[in-house]
Amino acid sequence: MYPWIAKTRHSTPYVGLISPPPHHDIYSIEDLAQLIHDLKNANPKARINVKLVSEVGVGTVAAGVAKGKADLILISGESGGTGASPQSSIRHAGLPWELGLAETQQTLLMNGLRSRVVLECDGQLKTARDAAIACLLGAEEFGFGTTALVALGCVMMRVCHLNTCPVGIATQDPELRKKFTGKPEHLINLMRFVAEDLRRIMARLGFRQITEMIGRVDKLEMTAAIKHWKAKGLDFSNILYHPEKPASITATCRTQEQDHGLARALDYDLIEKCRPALERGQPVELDISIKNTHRTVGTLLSYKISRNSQMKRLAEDTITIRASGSAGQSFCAFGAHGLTVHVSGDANDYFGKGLSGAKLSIRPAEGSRFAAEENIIIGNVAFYGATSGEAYVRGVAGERFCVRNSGVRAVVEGVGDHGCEYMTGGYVVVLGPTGRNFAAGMSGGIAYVLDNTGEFVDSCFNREMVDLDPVEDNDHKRLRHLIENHSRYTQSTVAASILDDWQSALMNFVKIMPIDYKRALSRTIKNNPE
Amino acid sequence: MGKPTGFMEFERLLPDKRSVEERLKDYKEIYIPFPRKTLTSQAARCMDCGVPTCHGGCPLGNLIPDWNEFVYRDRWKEAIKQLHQTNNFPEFTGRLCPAPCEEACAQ
Repeated sequence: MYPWIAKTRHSTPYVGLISPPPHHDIYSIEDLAQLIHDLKNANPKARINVKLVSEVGVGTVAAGVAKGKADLILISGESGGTGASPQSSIRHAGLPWELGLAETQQTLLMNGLRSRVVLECDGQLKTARDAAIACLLGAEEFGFGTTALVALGCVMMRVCHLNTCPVGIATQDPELRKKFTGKPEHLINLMRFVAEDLRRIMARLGFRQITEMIGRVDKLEMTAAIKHWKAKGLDFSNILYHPEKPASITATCRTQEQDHGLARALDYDLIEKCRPALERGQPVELDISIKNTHRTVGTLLSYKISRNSQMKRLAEDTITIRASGSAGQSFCAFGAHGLTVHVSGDANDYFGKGLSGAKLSIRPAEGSRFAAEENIIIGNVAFYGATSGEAYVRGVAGERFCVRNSGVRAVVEGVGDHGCEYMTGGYVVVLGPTGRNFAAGMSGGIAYVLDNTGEFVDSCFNREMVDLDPVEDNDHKRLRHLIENHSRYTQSTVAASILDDWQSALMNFVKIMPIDYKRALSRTIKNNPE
Repeated sequence: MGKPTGFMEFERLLPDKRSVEERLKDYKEIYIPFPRKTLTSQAARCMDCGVPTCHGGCPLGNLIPDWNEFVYRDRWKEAIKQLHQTNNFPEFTGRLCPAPCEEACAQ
């Protein structure tokens, strides 16, 4: 990971990233629906696309995805993909797109879902004939990948991952990039000819517009000319089947927008109240009450912050919100810099997911009598894929805490299983017990765990990619700063007792240091001694 | 396989010929053989493409990246074994070969 690539990917220079990335935030179709909702909140203008592999049963999955409010479903065929993937993943990775597309179109039609989603198709589409067949089978958009790249000069070396692309496409090497000879006109030309060709096919079939053509399987027939002995037993009737559907369903293509339910979001109220901060950068303080039916609170507000500030950061603590109640799913997901939210109550799953600079703190509601450090206060997958910001959690977090964290500084009083998995940056301080498999695949950042019982060192963490290092002098300052903040924002009794007896508490801290990260740090220090 | 960055590190080289006066006196080799090190570094220039266009360029369909790889690794026995798979007479076809594979090469 070169520094200039690390910058664009919000990652740590010289620390490798595990590819393909694990999606520990989507284990069910409900999770996916929540993710779609979060992304829609993060940018209401964007279409949320879900890509599905063409295979048996893809229709059922697509129906679920359509109900989960995706704007577009992409059916991807068995062949094609990046040149970085191995040969075994480039061909026969699934079924041909024709099969998956036909199944999806039929399922969506029969269930009255087709009118809400755009269907796209890709997987080695090369000619207008491919596009026409895809269209007749039900697609309204078509993806050309390899063909477009070849038009720009790709010679299919399949070295996209080695930074040695000899035609300067998939490389960051300035010498090799000079060799890039592609021009926008090349691509325009290709697409114009594909479109022209498609118009001819449409004229022959008697269609004026693509929308008339979508899902007209009756116009497709099997070529009788195929003499190959293997073609003898082929029966395409299931692919070319036009499903029986209620008379009320007439459209075979998208005719209406998905209702994402954004109009019900609490955020519009917040945006209205934060107007002075958004427009003029003036500090705003708010007290709000929240319920767990308010999903993804703070994300639309963050969208507005990043829109208004045009990549300039809003000053820290410009907007301070004190929320009381039970926070719903994805509280403050993708929270932007300048936003500070103090919750008193508890929170559901995906707390601070994808955090992008905001400061969050959470503690039990006023007057609660249980011991905060012994009870779960936030749900699973908190701070998943977060890139920057701060978080102070007075209480225990659920499973998969800070998975794929690449920059958040978080303090928590206990975590469930798989904490800090695939973490690549940031600091995590755990002032209590951890579940098993802590720090699996962790390649960057540092975790400090308060191990009073010695149990953590014995059994809790995954040794594959990390070392246990002693807590050194430069860690003391960082650790103390984070714990002091934790105490200040959440009035944590655990933090207070640690600060009271700082020297002996230090003895019980263990530092979890990824081996990769240690190497990267020493390299950075060597290059830049300051 | 090969050396991914070989083509950027090593220039393409051709062996020198003996002088005409010298060649007139005997029937020996025209070209002065490369030292082994040059041969392996020249073999390292092969990028082991995903779509090896050299296969198509060669009328025999020689598996060029495969034996370039072996030569680069100094495993000559395996290299000649690979070459024999497609070519019965590498000794004299090699001498005459105008290297259409190089014409077809992505570089």
